Amino acid sequence: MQLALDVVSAIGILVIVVLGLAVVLGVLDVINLAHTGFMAVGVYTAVTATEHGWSFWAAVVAAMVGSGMAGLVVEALVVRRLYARPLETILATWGISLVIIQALTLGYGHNNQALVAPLTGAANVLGTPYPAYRLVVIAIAAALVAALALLVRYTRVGLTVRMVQSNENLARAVGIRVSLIRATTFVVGCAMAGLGGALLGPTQAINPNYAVSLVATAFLAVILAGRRLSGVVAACVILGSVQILFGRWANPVYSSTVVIGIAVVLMRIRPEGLTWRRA
Amino acid sequence: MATRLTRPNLLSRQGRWGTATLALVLAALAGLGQVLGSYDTGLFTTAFLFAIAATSLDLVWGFVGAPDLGHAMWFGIGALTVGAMTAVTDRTGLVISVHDAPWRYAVAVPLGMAIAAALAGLVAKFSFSAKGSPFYIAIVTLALSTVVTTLYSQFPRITGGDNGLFGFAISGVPARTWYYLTLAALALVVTGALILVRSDAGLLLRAVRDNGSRARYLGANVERVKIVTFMLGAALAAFAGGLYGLMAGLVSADLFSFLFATEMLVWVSVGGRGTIIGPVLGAIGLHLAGARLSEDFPTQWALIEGLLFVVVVVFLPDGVLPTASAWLSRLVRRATPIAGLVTRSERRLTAHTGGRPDLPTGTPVVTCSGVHFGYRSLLVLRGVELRVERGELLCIVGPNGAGKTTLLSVLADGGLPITGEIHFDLGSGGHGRRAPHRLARAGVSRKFQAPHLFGTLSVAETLLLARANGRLPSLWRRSRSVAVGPSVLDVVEATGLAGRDNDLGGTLAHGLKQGLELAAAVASRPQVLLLDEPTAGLTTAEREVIGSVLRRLVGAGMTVVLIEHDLDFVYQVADRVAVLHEGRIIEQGTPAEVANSTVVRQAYLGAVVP
Amino acid sequence: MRVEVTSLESGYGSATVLRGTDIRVDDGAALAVVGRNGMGKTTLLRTILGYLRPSAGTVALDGVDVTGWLPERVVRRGVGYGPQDEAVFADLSVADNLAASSHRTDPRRRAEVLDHFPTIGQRLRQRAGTLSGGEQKMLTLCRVLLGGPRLLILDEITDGLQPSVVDTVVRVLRWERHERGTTLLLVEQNIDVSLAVCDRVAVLKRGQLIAETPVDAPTVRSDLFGLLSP
Repeated sequence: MQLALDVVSAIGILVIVVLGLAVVLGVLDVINLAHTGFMAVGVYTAVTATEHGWSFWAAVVAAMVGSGMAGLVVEALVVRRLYARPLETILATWGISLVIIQALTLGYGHNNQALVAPLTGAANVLGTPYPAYRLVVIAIAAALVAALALLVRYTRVGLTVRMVQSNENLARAVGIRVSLIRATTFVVGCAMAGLGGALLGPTQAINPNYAVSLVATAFLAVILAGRRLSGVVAACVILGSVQILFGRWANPVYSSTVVIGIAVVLMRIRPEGLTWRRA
Repeated sequence: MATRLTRPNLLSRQGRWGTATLALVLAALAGLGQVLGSYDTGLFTTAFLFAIAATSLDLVWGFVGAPDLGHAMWFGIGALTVGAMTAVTDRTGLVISVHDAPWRYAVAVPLGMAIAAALAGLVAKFSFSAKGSPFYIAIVTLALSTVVTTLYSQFPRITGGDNGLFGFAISGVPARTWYYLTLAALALVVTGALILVRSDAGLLLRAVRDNGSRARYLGANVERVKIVTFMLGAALAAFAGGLYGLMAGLVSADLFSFLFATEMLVWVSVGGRGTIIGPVLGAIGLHLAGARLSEDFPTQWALIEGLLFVVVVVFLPDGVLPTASAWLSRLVRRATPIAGLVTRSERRLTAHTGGRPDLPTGTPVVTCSGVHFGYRSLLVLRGVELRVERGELLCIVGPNGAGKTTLLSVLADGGLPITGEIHFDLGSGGHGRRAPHRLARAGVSRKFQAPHLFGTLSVAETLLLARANGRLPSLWRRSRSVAVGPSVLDVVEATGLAGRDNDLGGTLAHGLKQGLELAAAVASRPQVLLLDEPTAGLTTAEREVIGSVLRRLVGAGMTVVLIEHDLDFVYQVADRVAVLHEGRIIEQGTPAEVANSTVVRQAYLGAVVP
Repeated sequence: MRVEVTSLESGYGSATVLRGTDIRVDDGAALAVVGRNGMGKTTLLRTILGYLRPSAGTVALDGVDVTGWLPERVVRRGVGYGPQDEAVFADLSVADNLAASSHRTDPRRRAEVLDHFPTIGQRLRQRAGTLSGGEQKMLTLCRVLLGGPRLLILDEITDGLQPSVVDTVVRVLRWERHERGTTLLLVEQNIDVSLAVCDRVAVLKRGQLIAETPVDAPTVRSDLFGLLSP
């Protein structure tokens, strides 16, 4: 049971990290290598907020706003000019992540910060005690996925976004303000990064290189996922499970290797990603 | 979206100015070597080696379009092979001594190159496939470099563990000698690369980069081109790494890291992807600047570096060098109105003189029986029975959605899964279906409905490749004139391409692209021509000309299968007509027979004939 | 919607395709633009719509200067555009494509439009990318019509359509003109369609308008063939 919960928790964490990345990649075809940087911006915003006496959940909201605003600036100055060139975007966002890391270092120093979870103690899940906070994180991950799925499939906003994703020139021809959609999507992606960063704060070491260890896996997960939400969930399930199960029974150093290996092989077998297409 | 085209500028097209700049820079560096102090000499030497690595990355990324995010790995392998072969380590990876055996140094560099090439070959074979996304190589190399860096510390005996190996440089070689040695190596590599990319074979590289799927139908084995180039890039990077090992005697996980690979990507993109010269200058310039600045401002350097990357990537997208050369070319044009100084015409189409090979005479040349094909739940072809006689012009007509283009796709691409049989008789025994490039080489050429061409190749260059039809063009020669058959010139005239020999594929208007598509299909002198709506977008007068061109081709023995909607055109040119309706051939015969068939009228024209 | 294009110059990079073109279409009128390949017809449309920035000249719709406006802004004034290439949202279903131009379409209007093109109505759940070239053109026309535009700009809408469908398109376009007063601006290679639908035909040659003639001129056919030859 403990193992199962660990697996679900790992999946949940991966989902939260990957969701913002997936939204940006899926709609804008932009690989935002600065994603972990925006997560760092989020967690540092939350830390600063709690230091000023804000409650945890208020700090999380502050984190989303902070990252969202940073995303707005980055989109307007940099990403906007690079939409036609995906590989240059990778380079540029990598540069931005370096900038963010260094800026945070200059501002806060190298030392670890702390963010205290709002819930301590354990809850009882089918007879097994498990940290309550992790359960909350799992629940939030599930809620986010559901909300996003409903939004995309059933709303006009969702249709608009899918149109931009499918054929941008034509989207313009039907009157869609493409640059607005793009900017909004990017900001939402960054806000989600901030959310993820703050939520994971109590479980990770908080320093300017925040969440960098998750970059490779998250990146792979999002490419593996293809362009749809169902793929994102599937990818996180697979990679999260492998990570925990492998780490349990073998040398953890190799677990990331195996995760990456599996992701790479899966992508070869199903190049269009793990999506289910309606015929 | 405003289209943004790269104007042919001095460097990438003409090359004379670029080569001159490079020669000048190399000469200057040679002179500089006499006056530099020992620290600076070491710095420059490293810069030259990095420039070789940058060249190798440009070949892979700039010319074939494969973004190698782990290019540092190959460099690292080169250095590590030298270290592993020459350093003696204890169990924890600490270097105790160095072998006193010069042969080890001599063997290590080629060995490193071989290992890198072999591994690169595996990676490439795995990553480049017809069905996968071209992005896949980026993921795999990224993943692999992460894995390699993680695993580096797991094998300390070979790799020196976390601290790496050190102190195994060849002793007794003065810094200045290394300077000139590496400079010479750089000059050699760059010269070779420039010859390659400017040759006719270089066109193949660019075609694969611009539109790999189309290149397939011109007979190019796209996967093989990518794999070979990738391996070459890895080998060159390992060469540079090996020299680094010989010279500096240092290797650690850093040399394999994604961070280092990113630096390489930055050198190439800042310098100017796809120019060879740009990345060389970029690598040298940035490495020297970086070394200086990180001394004075150690903590802020990373911040500045990040900002610099971003600024250059955003505002100078072609890289510093092509942008500078574009300014220069504008300047020169203004200053010297003499025509011919900045000449853009390089390749001209000329008429081919010479005999034609004899064609086989068996018939039918293409047979389909019981062919079914569909996408997921949508069955498009439902039992197609078709015979194409040799030397005839067969038109396939049919209502929209009947499956005409699908039928052509299934014929031309053996990779699409069908039930039923398709048989070709192209001489040298019959064939079944095969992959597009092999079928193209066997003599079946295809023209697509919507034109897909090569953005950076001119009309003449595209036809040069089409004519080569899969045979490897010269690796060093750069043809000035492209001889093509009279029928190709016919098509060129008829579709308005005359005089546009050097217009780039990306700048042509729709109708002209159609023309080029047709010309390219004909240029390989195929036995069977598969044309999908060859007259789409053409005026009536032009259609007549195309019609006569096709009749002439058939007269010379070619078999033409074409899809058409323009019934006047069909009556003008067709020997036989086959009507495809709801995935089946419902009628075959002469145009008159088909026109009078009630079955056809009902299905096609939607009218009930009284 | 009145269209006024004045001295328009536009092109790609260093290549100037349009060299001082003037176009006038009165409200409720219909103009067909014909010409050989590479003469600038699609460039003209794309510049009018805002996909390309003109280097000189102006575009005005109903007297409002829209030169240099982004396409999405131009289109919101009541323009329906059917491009020549990539005219559908390939990843989306046919139904989603039809909904693209407007959220709320009168169901009667929708039924009306789909009646003309039953193939489209039969494939609502199919992914638009799997339709044939001709079907995609039909879908484009349906989509555009459902948006209820006051100006219809169509680039080679009949290219690739079988003759019976072309007849339907002609009928539909004529109806749009005469019953709904929609202004039409068509780029067409098909002379018959141009003459059947529009009241004026303009010939574009090397980026300039070299002739414009009313459709009912007695020698219009031979004149046009003459102008279109090399």
